[in-house]
Amino acid sequence: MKIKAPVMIQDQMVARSKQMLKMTEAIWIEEAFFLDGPISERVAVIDFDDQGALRPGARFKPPTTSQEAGSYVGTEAPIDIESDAFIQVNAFATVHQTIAMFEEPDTLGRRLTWGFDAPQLLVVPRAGKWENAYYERESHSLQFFYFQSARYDDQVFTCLSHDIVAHETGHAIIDGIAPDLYDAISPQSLALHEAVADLTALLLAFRSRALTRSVLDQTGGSIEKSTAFSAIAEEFGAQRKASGQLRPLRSLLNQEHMPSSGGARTSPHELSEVLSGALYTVMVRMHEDRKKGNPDWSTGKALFVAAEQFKRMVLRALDYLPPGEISFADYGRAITCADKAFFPSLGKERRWIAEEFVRRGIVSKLEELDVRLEPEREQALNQVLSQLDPKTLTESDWAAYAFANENRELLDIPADRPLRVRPRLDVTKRFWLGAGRTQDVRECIFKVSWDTEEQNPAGRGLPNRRQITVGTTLAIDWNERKVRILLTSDSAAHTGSKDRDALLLRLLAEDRLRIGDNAVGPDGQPLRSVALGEVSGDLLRVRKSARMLHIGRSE
Amino acid sequence: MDKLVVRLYNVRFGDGVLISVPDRDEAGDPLTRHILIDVGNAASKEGGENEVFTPVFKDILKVLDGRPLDLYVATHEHMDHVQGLLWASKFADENLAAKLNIQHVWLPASAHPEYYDTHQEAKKKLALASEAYHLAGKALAASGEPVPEAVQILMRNNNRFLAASPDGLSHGRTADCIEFIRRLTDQDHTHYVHRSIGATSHGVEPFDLTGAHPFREAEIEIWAPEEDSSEYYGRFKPTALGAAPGASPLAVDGEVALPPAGVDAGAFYNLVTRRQGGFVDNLLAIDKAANNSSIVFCLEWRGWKLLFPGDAELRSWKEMNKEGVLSPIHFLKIGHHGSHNGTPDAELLAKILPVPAPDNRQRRAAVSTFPDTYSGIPHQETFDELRDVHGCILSTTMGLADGEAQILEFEG
Repeated sequence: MKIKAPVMIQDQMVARSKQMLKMTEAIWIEEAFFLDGPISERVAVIDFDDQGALRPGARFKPPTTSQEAGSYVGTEAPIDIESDAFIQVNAFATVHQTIAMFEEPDTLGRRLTWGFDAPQLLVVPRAGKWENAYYERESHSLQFFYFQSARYDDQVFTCLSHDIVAHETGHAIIDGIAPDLYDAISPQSLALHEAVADLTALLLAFRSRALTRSVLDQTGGSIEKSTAFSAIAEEFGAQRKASGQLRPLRSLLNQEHMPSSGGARTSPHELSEVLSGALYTVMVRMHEDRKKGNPDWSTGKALFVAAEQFKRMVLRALDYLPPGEISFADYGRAITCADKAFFPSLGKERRWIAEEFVRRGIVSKLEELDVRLEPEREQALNQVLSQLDPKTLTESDWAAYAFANENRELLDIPADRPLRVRPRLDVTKRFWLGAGRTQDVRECIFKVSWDTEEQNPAGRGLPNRRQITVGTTLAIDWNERKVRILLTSDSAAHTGSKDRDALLLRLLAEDRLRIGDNAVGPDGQPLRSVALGEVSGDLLRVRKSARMLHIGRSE
Repeated sequence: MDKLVVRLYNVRFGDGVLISVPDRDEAGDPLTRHILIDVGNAASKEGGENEVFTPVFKDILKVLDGRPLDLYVATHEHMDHVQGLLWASKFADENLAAKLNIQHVWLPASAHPEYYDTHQEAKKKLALASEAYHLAGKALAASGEPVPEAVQILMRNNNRFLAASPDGLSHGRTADCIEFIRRLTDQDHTHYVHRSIGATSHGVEPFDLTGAHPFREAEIEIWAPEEDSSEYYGRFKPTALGAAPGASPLAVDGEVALPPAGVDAGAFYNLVTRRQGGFVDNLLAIDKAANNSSIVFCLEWRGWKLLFPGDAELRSWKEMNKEGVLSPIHFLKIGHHGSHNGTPDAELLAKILPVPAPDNRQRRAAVSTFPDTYSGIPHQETFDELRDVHGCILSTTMGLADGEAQILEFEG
C-alpha cells in the first residue's frame, strides 16, 4: 500500500532567514499496511502529551481505488506545521524516507533489520522539554524533545527538523547494520556512528528537489557556498543561544584534522567532523566534476547524479564493515571495496577519498586504503567458496560456523579464539553501468567476530585488562561463488588502544562510565545514562557506550 | 615548636573537621584560632546516627577552651554536611551556638538568600532540578514498591528543594539548617564566598577575603566554587509520569494507558516504563550539582599547604584547573567521603600532588567516611592511588568510636 505524506525539507527559522518559500514537500511511502498514529509494520508514532497520556494519532485515510495513494487526515494544504497531525506524520514520513534510501537496490539492496529484537521502531515526536533528541536501543525508540527558543517566544520541536529526524533514524539504522558499535570503546567507532548519521541527514537533504533548486539558484550552482546541506541541525544550534551568529550543531564544511601524533581526541562528536568533513569535501568535488564533464546538464542534475553516487559509496560500505571496533580507515577501506567491487579499474572518486583521508591525517599514506587481496589467498578462498552453497551458508548457523572454523587462516581468525558467526545477509545490489543500463549482483555477506584482550591503563579501579571485539566480513558473489570483498578489522583495533585508554579515563573521570557495582544506582537498577563496565575476574567489558551519542553535545 | 592540628571526627557518613591553627592576636601575642568545617551526616540508619554529634561538640568545646570559634565553613547544601549544628543545638546543648561564639561564617555564594533573584540562569537550572526532584518523589510514591534505603538517603540528602518547616527548626530539612547557619553570627560576618584567587573569571571579581576571617599568619585561598553555580548543573532527563501519586506507574488519570492498535503491547509498556524511569540518574545529577558548589579552600601555614575540598567533583576540579588555581599541597582532606568521583583524575591530581614531590614534607590525606551507606563508597582504588602513586599517608575515621577524632599534626 502507498501513501502520500508531507515532510519538512528545511527548518522553519532557517528557511525564513534564507527566503525559502517552501518548507514542506510530499513524499510517497510504500508499506504493507498503514494505521492511525501513523503506524506501519516497521514504524509507530507514539505521541505523549505533557502528562504522559497518549494524544490521538493522526487518522489514516485509505485510498479509494487501488491506483491511488492513502494519506493522513489533517495534513492537507494549507499545512499547519505545529498541528498534532503534521507533527506526527512528518516524523513518521521522514523516518520512512530515510529507511527507503538505505534499502534502495543501489544502496544496501535489502530490507533493514533493527538493532533490537522487535519489528517496530517507536517514534516519540514530543518526548518532553529538553534540548535533545536520541535513539535508544533499550526502548526501541527515537525520542525527540522540544524546548523554549532562546531567541523567540516559540517552542522549538526537534521532531520538525528534517536533519535531526534523519540523523536519529540514521543512528537506529546503523545500530541494525553494525550493532557492535553500540558497545564500542574506540573513539573512532563512536564517531563513525555520528558521522554516518550526519551523512544520512545530508543525503536526504539532497533528495529534496525544492531545497536543491532553491540552494543552487541562490548560490549560482554550487553547494560549497551554502549551509543548507553542510549545516547539521542549524535551527537547533541557533535557537539554543539568545544572540550571536546562527551556528549549526555541526558543520560538514570544515577543515578538521585528526590530532597530531600523541594527541588524543576522544569526543565522538568532534572526531566525527573529521570524517564527515573529509567525505563532504569529496562530495563537493564530485559535484563540480559532474558539472564539468557534462556541460549540457543542469546543475540540478549534476547534483542529483553526484549525490546518488556518493550515497552508493558511503552507505553501501556499511554492510561491508567488519564486526566489532571500527576505525575510520576500516570505513575508508569498506568504501573503497564497495566501489571497487564493481568498478575495479575506474575510481577517481576512490582516489579523492584516499587523498582526503591522508590530508586530514586519518591515514598516513594512500596505501593504507588498499584493499587488494593477495592472489594466493583469493585463489584459495575461491577454491573453498566454489564448494559452498551460499543458500546453505546463509540459512544454516552450523554450516556458517563450520566454514569459519575450518578457514580461520583465510579469514584472519586467530587459531585460539572462540568465534561467533553473525546472521548472514542475502542482498541484491544494483549497479549503474551508464546510459541508463544497470546490473544486479546478488551477494552473501558473511560476518564473523571474535574477542581480543588488551591492557587497561592503571588506576581508578580499572581491571588490568579489557576485552574488545574485532572481526572479518566476507562478501561472496552468490552466482559466481567467488570472493568479492574481504575485510578484517584494522590492526588499528590494536594500535588504537591508546585512544581507547584516553576515552575510558575520560568517561571514568566524568562519571559517565561506571564499573561493576558502581554501575548500579541506589535503587539497585543499572544506571541509564552511563556506559556500563562489566568485570569478570581481571577483565573489563564495556557496554552501552553509544548512550553518549545524543544530538546535543553532552561533553 | 608549634603544631597545627586537624581533627577529623567520626560522624559516621558525613563530615566534621576542626582545624586549630597557631596564630597571633592584634598585639602579636600567640594564640590558637579554630576553623570548623561542616558537621553533619547522611540520613541513613547506620551512617546517620545523630547521637554522634553530642561527643563531637563536647570535644570541640573542650578544644576551644573558652576561645571563640573563629570561622565556621558550611561547604555545601547537603544534609550530611549541614545538619549537625542544628540537631546538636536542639537536642544536645541548647546553648551550643552561644558557647561556640562563632566569629565568621562562610557559605557558598549560591546559598545567599537572594542569590537566585540576581542569577537568572542559575534560577532556571534550579527550577529544572527542583522539578526533577519532585518528579522523583512522585515516581517513588507512585511505584507502590518499597523505596530502597539508598534512594531514600539520596532524596533526604538533597531535600534543599523542600520549603522550610513552619518553625524553621527541623534538622531534617536543608532549608532550616542553612537558615540556622546563616544566623550563627551577625549578617556582616556571614560571608557567601566564591573563588578568591586567579584572574577575573566569567566577569566576576575574585572574592575579597579582607575581613572574612581573623587569621594574621596563616593564609587562606578559596579555590572554588564559581560565583555563578549554574555552571554545575547537569542535564536532567525529563521523566514522564502522568500518574497521580499512588496510582500504577502505567496509569494515566487513574486509567491504564493502552497501546495504540498496531503496536506490540510489550514494546509499548517497555517504552512507557523507561520514560517514567531515569529519575535516579536525575537525583544523582542533582547531588552532583550541590557537590560541585562546595567551598574548596587551601590553608597555608608555615610552609604547609592543606586543602579542604568539601565534596567537589570533577566539574569543579576542572574549573579550578582552568582558572589556574591548582598548586602543590601537603594535606588533602579527601572529598566526598572517599568516593571514586570526589578525587580528581590523574592529570589534575598530579597538579596538587605532583610526583616527585617538590619538597621533603610528608604528604598526608584523610577521609571521613562510613561503609555500607552509598554503593562504592569508600573507593579503595582511590586510596591506593593516593598512597601508592602520590606517597600520601592515609588516615580514616573508620574504626574510630562515635565522635572520636582522627588527629593529624603539622609541626611548624
